Amino acid sequence: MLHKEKIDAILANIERTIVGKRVISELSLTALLAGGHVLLEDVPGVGKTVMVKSLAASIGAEFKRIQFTPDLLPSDVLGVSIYNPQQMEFEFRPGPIVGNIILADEINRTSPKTQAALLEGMEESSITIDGRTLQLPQPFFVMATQNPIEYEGTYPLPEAQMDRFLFKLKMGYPTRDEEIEVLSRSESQLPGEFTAPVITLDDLLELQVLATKVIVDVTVKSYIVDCATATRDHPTVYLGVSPRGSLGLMKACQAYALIKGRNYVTPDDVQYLLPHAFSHRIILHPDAAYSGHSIDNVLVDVIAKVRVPIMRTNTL
Amino acid sequence: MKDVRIDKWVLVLLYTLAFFMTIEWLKPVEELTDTGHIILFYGFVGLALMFGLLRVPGWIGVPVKVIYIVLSLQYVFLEKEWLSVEALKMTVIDMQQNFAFIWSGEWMSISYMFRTGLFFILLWMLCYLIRYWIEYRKSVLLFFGMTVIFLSVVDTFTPFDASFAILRVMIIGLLLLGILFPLRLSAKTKTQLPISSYFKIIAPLVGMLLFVAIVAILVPIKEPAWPDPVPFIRSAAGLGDSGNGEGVSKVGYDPDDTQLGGPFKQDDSVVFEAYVDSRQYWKMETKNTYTSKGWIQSSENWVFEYQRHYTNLMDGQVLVPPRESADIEIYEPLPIIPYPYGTEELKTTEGFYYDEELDTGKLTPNSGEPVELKYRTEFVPPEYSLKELRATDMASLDSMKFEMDEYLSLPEEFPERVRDLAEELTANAPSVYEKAQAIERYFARSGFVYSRDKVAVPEEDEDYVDQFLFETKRGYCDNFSTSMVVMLRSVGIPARWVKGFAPGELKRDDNKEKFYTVTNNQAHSWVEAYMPGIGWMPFEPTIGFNGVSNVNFDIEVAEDDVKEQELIKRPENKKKQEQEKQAAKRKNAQEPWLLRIIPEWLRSWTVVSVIVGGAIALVGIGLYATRKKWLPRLVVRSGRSKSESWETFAIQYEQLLKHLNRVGLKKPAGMTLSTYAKEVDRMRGDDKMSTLTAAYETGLYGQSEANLNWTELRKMWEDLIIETTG
Repeated sequence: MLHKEKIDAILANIERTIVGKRVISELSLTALLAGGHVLLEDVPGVGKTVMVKSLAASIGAEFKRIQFTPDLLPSDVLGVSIYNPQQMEFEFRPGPIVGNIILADEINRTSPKTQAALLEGMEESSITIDGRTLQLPQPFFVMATQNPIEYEGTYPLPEAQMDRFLFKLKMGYPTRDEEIEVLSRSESQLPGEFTAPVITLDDLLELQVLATKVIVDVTVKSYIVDCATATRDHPTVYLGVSPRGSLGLMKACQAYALIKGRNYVTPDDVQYLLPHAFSHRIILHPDAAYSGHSIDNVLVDVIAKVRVPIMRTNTL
Repeated sequence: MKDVRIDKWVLVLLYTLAFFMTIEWLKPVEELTDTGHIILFYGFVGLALMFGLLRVPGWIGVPVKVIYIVLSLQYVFLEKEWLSVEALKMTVIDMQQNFAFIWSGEWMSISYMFRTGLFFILLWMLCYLIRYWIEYRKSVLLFFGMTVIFLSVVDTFTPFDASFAILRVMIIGLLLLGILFPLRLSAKTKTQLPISSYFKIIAPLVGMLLFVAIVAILVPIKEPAWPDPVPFIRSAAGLGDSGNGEGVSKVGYDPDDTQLGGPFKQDDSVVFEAYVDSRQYWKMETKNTYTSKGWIQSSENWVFEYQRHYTNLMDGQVLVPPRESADIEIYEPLPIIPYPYGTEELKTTEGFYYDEELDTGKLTPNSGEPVELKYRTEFVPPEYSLKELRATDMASLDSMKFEMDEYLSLPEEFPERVRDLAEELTANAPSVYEKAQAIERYFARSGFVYSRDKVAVPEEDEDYVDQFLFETKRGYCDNFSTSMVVMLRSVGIPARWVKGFAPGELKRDDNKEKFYTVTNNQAHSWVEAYMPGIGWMPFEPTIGFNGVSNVNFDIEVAEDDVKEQELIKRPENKKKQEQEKQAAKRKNAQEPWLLRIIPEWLRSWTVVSVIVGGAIALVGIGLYATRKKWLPRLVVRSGRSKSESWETFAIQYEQLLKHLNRVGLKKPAGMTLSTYAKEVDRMRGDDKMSTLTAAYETGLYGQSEANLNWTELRKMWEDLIIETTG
């Protein structure tokens, strides 16, 4: 099976479970292939969990879910060493973070301490517990959700933590027809029924390696950097995109090109992914925000203004 | 790119409207210039537009138009020999001459016929432009705007009244814009609208325009918020200071003399013709008060009606023997009636009343309107005895000081040097007459120049006479006559300023009878001085004019050196001209043949370099402006000879981008190539650009150039460039 077919199989499989949301599933898969994590920001009940679950099921990965609450402790996430009286030693009981695909629900409801525990794992793909470093299984993919409506009693993620997510996505409501289709499907379906995996975890790891082989021409690299720089120089922006943001965007582009069956990245990929990869890494000037500017506007502006490289010569 | 066709009925409508708009340009031409036969020009515009509309091919259209022009010219200018071989010959000769004139830079010598021909050609080109504006640009805003500006300028600065023309043009222009807009839209989106939709779109516009037009006609017009800009513009340009000053006045009788000076334009239209045996000065009125800028008539006028003098010519012809008579026919209406000195009676063929003002001598028709009139004046030419004139002395004037007060008055701020000059001139003359004569003759011998152009207008703080006498020494009759009156007054001789016409040009009619034609050019002013014991006597100080006073030489004196001076001057001039001619000939003889055929005005290096530079610049601009047309073909041709490789393809793709940019498919900086290609393909309706772009992107971003089908891509590239070239 060619890699393109594998990818199409995954997407088709997800689509069998969830109605519409092709874009979100593609982007989620992009993040997965690029080794990044996704922050889903949306109201409850639009299919976030189903989405992640079906993705996990399609690749035969271990799915874990952590429901964050204010009293959740880091050990509840990472795991805990328990004394085993029979063997006379401490035995490590891994927490829910030790898995392939983690759904971190309502991440902003827990204390920063617990958030930090998760975020370290996300960045390093390893956890440190009792002085021991434990490598997390590969692939490791966190999909965190955040409810943008209820801010009462929440601990909003600090900017540094936001930067660790590759994408911030919005699920959005289904269209009318899609919602009718959702109802029709659920009519005769038992809850918890998920499709069988279409590829193995090894296949997925192979795809991740393939994604790193996708060519990013120097013109495209310079275009990415130009875009990142443009966010930093934009008059309404207080904090622009970090180099980690540029790096993440490039990785994402590689994965996306792979999904689209190309072995090179085009500026179209950059333009397509840029809002998802950059929007959570920018802070506007308070004045600008008050006078009606939004981050989305800034990004549209950046895309429209930064010159797309169309010749080899003018970038070197 | 295939064009969306314009429905033929819409086209007919468009062309008709354009025709009426063009006509509006010709109407002022008819009224303001002496262009006759304007209907021929209308016809030509109509013909040219119709040919455009009917798509008459050039090989028919051009000859037909040329024939039309030639026939029209012959019809207008060679009426009698119309449609003859002779006429054709004359036309050809005329053309040759005029080309020679153009070549030698004698622009003023070009004949009317040739100018008219050129005007026809101008109209021809205009019709092409209109066709271009309507059918290709689908926008007549430029033409519309120019028409409105033209009409408003004509309305503001000339007597032409364009108030209805503006309304017509506004309606036609807005209608044209309204019809063309949906056409332009459908051309842009490549959708062919059915004709009924066009009319549906236009219908509200037509309704609205009709409503507006009706309102515009019915509603009273408000006074303009701004004052008439013309006086302002003139004063800003430094022409005249009081608002009365004229730029270039037209010569002729004008009752307003408050601001004298300034250049005059020639006008040889006939004012009246007079059958009279001798040369007569045609007096119209006198004025008494000099304002240091011009003349006004102050003091009450004694008016009485000349009722009893009107007699019917039909009844009886009782002529008193010593009287002379002048039969005068006025062609250009005059507000007051000209008459010769010594007029005793005025006779007309029909009932006609007029007022005579005793002190100004004005004969004003009772109707108050300027008249065209046929009348006979009977007059006894005044004669003056030199003996009596020599006997006039200043002392007898003293007793008349009171009654002559108005003819002795001078402005309060009167330059002393004028009086000094007058006193110096008259110091040695014993009699009043000789004093006056001394001043009359002063001008001819003191370097004054008669000229109708480049005549100064006095500034606010300047005196008209002072300026003429001491600064400019250049002027026409008003300058000379006013100066003389002022100088006479300054030495205590009563004098007044007379307006009228010079005797005119002597001609003979079919019966060999003498008559004088008086044109506007003969409008004149002279001087009357009061000779004690004799009365008012005319004087003629203006250089080049001969007075008419009949002085009886009852004592022997050598007289009239004005004529002598004229005689002396002329041979001198001739000699000079002769010398110049000979010098020119000598010059010609030395020059090689090739240089001789180059006209004089082309010789200087500046002119040559300006012409050559201009030509190069024009060619450059032309090439740059038309690069859309020729550059792509050049690019395609040069592309064929290049090797098939990525490098070539990359260069060619970049050329393609530039080319598309030139033909109007602009790519914003932030747009990616594939988006742009989709846009281009959507406009063109195929996928060539996307295919090419995909190949280019593979090479550019994917760094793999190996498996691209160069031949196919080049074919596509060529097609794309050629097809997008207009």
